Amino acid sequence: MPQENGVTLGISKKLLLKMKKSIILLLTLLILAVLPFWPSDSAGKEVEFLILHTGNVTGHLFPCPT
Amino acid sequence: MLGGLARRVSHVMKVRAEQQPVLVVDSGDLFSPYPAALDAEKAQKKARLLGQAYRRMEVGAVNVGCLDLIQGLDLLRQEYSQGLPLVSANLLDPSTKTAIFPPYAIREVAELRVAFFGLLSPELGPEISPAVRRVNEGKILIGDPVKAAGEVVQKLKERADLFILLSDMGLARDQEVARAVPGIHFILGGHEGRFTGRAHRSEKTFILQSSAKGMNVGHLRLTLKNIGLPFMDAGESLYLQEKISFIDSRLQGLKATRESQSAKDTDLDRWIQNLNRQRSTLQEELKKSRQTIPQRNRFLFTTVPMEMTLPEDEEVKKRIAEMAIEKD
Repeated sequence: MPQENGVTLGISKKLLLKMKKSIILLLTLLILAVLPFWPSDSAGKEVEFLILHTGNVTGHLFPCPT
Repeated sequence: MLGGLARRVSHVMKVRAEQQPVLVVDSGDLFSPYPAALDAEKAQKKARLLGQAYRRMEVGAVNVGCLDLIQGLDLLRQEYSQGLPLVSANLLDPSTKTAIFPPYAIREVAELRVAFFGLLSPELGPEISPAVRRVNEGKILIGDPVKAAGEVVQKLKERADLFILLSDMGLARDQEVARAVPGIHFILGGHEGRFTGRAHRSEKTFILQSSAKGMNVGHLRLTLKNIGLPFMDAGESLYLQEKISFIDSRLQGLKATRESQSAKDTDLDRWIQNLNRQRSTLQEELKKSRQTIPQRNRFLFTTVPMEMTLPEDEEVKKRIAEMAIEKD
């Protein structure tokens, strides 16, 4: 029985170590995916848009009163 | 005026179709200038047509200007209820001291939140004050523009990336607001029908106007690298380049005159020297301006004249004909 227990305990420890390694690997991959360690293509990307403006469209009868 | 309206609509729709994203705004005094007492029916017809046309252009924000008040608040309320996005931060209800129309409109464009807010001048001027008072007696109160602008900027500082004031106050008042309220990126002005080929700068705010009578449509092209960076006028280098070209042509003429003269002309030589000095100063400025541009957000303001040769929007043209309003 103790031997059996010993075997069971040995497998559990191995499994636990493997799981730990997998978790660490997963976390590393996750961090790598989330954090920009090197400049991405979108860094410094410019956005451009246009504003069309009209004003004082009918203001010709009364010029600047101020 | 209305002939220009059909061309204006056509121009805006063409730009929209060619280029995304586009926002359309008006800084006030959009509606008919006819005092209601002179020809109320005609004035109302024109105002409605203008409202329809601007909705057709999918206008993002329209400031209430002093001339718009001549038509009375009821017409403006009707237009607003039909979808014209009127804004004014200092047109207040006298009893509650709250804004009659929304003080601002936030429009999302290119992943940015652009806050447009409107202001009109507390001094309406002797020509229009009686007309505005007559139709709006006891219904309106025009609040202090500096206070109203400060409140909007403070309220929206976490909710907007870019602040643009649509002003119907004139350049002097615009400069006053820009000095008193930091955080306004641009003021698109009106009221006095100025044509600003170049932006007026007041503190960190750039002030622009697109002339009067709908003669031009102002194109403000914004290129942003990072919203935290200051803006610079990309037109500045074009302006410097133009000045250098002008000096070059003057120099060419003066040098030709000098060569044709047999005797030495010291005045002419001094003149040439002066121009050469001016030229090298401008060259330095141009070099500096070109080096700075890539590290900043930039804008380019141009005005497109609504020339008679431009096509008219068929829908607006049809409505003008149906309403039997002459294109004055």
